[in-house]
Amino acid sequence: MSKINFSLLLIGGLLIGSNLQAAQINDKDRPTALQQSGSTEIVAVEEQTIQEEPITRAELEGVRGEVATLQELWQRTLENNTARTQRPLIFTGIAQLRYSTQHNATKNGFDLNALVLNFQGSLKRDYEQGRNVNYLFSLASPSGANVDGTTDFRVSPLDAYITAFILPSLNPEDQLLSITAGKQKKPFGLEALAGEDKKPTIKLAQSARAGTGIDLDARDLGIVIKGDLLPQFDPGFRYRVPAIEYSVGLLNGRGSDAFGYSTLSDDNKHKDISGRIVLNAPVDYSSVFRGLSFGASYYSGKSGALGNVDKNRNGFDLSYVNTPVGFTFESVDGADNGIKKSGRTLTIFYNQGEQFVSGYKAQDRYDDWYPTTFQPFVRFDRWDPNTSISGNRKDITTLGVNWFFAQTTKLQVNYNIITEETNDIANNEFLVQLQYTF
Amino acid sequence: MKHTFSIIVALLTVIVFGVTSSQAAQHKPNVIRIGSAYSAGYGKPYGGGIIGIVHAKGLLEEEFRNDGIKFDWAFFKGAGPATNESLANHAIDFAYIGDLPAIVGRAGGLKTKFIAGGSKYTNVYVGVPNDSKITSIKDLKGKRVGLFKGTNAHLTLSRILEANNLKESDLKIYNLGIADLDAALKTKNIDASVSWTNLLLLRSQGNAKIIYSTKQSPRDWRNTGGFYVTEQFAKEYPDITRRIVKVYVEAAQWASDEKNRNEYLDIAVKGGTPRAVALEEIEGRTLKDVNDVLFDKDYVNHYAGGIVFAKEKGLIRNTFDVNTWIDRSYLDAAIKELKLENFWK
Repeated sequence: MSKINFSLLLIGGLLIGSNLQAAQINDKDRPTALQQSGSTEIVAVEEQTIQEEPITRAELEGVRGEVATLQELWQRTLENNTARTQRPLIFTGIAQLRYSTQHNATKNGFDLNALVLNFQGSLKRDYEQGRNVNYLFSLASPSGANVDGTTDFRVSPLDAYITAFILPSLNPEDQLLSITAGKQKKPFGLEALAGEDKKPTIKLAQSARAGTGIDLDARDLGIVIKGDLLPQFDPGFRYRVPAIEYSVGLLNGRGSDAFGYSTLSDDNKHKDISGRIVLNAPVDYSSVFRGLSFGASYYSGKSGALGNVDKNRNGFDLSYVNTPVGFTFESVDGADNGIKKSGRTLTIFYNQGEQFVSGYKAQDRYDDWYPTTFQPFVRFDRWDPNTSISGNRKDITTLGVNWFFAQTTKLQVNYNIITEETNDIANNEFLVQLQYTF
Repeated sequence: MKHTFSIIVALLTVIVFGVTSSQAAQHKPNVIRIGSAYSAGYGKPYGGGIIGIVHAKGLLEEEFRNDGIKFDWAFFKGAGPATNESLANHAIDFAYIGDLPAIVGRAGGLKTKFIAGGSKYTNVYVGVPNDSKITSIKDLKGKRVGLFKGTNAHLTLSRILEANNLKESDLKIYNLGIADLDAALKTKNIDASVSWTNLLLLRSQGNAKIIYSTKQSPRDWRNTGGFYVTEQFAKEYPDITRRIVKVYVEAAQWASDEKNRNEYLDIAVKGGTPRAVALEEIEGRTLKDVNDVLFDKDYVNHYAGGIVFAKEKGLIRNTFDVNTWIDRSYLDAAIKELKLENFWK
């Protein structure tokens, strides 16, 4: 007999034994075996007699023995066939499968835009006040072509940090303060810091892309302090919004390597500073101003082995993320060794569905239910890599729709209308991407 | 030729007119979405209260079988706050929700009509670990108390504290969901939990003892449920709203009949409440008393008092007149149609 069948047999035995006493009231109302199957009267009487008798000591000892056997069986299975960790671990991953084609391009086709494996969990859990210490370590492969033009498959650590909550974090009415040390995102900008489910387009805004001069999306090594002030909590909707959010970081400032990700050590004595502050409308959930935010970001650093090359960025953003409509606007300006760059991004979206209504998504349902959401949007994205030189600006207007059809999966369709200031060629692109998380 | 053409035109006119008239007459939704703040809590789509009975017995599906209307049932793990969030996002048309979250939602701008009463005067319990030295409400001062803020237990706790000359600030309140409340009490990460029949279950498992129950308090301190419809849906589909309330009242009538007590308890079990716990909860009461859906004076005063109390405690910013919220027309029509004028009196 297989281990599974044996386990089922034991479980069935336990259930039968535990139901012997509980069946008294209901069984008096149920049709007897006589009425149901036409069995003999003797069988019906025996059935009722058995159901009314209490369990004996011998039967109880038998159940105990079966439980002990089952416990030993499960223990052996856990030891021999189950992966174990020293601390709580949540193992997730993200994959983006993409098809792209571009007008006048020499090639098109499928590629794996990104593969990410995340390992995260708790290093110390404070049950009383929530001054927890959590970790995240992730591995990623960049999109099809590497920044240096090569196409070989590479894996690089993407994030590797520890976050410690300095203030208690259990009560939504209290302000938060945490410190994060390690390889992480820089506290700058709106698009670069958005989670994957909040990013409407397949490709990031030009100003945020790793590998560009602005390099907003790239990670860096350092320490970031993050917190909020004046949290408003609407208990009727379990809605929390802090009036002020802030984050400030001290970072290596090394920038991206050939893979498009930051390297592991600094190349000079200087440390870069990055900071961001966000003002949120401190309103109740029902307010029309819910989701209105204004943010400002600043970055100051030095690059190069001598640390004498200026690297500065500043930006501001305005967003209104409500249901069903919303918009985001972000403006970024930067200067690297005197070369000034600027980017402007405007996105308008509409949500048809409950993807972003967290209370609605958490339901008791049979099967693998998830609300379907369609999110059509339009984005205007302008990038000028050198504002001192005319003719190198690039505008991308994206018409797209996102289809959230499962808990961790979305299908994205984008049509990018690309306009280069002096390059009058037809190079619009069409992309379809399936992103799934497990 | 002309004659034939005229006939064809006439026929087409009749067909087009007939189709459009039919469509106008059949102004009804494809799907009616009903949300409940009372979920079984273990992954199965069952709920408590009268709406749980309506769902479990498939009463609405039966009523609207020939109308081609489907029903989408949402049992929210996040209880009242999640139900309010869904109402605010137009994700549901009807809601079955407890008193305080309904008051907070309405005060916060949710456009709902209060169309029928729900399960009335259910109990709130205060539980502590078995070896706790806490024996009374006064002993909670300075202690860590778990509470699902925004639910009707919150309103009850406010009343209990006031009667014992305490304020919320005298306690260390931890805002936790139901499952987290139970887990925190079992592991003694909180000193007490203010919750519902889930505490009776913890007690039966040997993980808690009950130091207070609203069975010993004024009736008005207990929790009540209610049935609501969005103003938009009621305006667009008044007859459908009337029929749904009629089915709801039929379910309440069934639930009030003592001969249905066994099946009533079976449905409670599906809704996540063990039979023994459900029995203890309604001990000393008749089913008619529990499932009375009328807007009687005590019930309306309970909500009016709840509005005032919530404003005093800062749970809501604005008050409103409960009588502008209640729409008795659907309930009165159902009572009359079902000839239940004296059933709950």
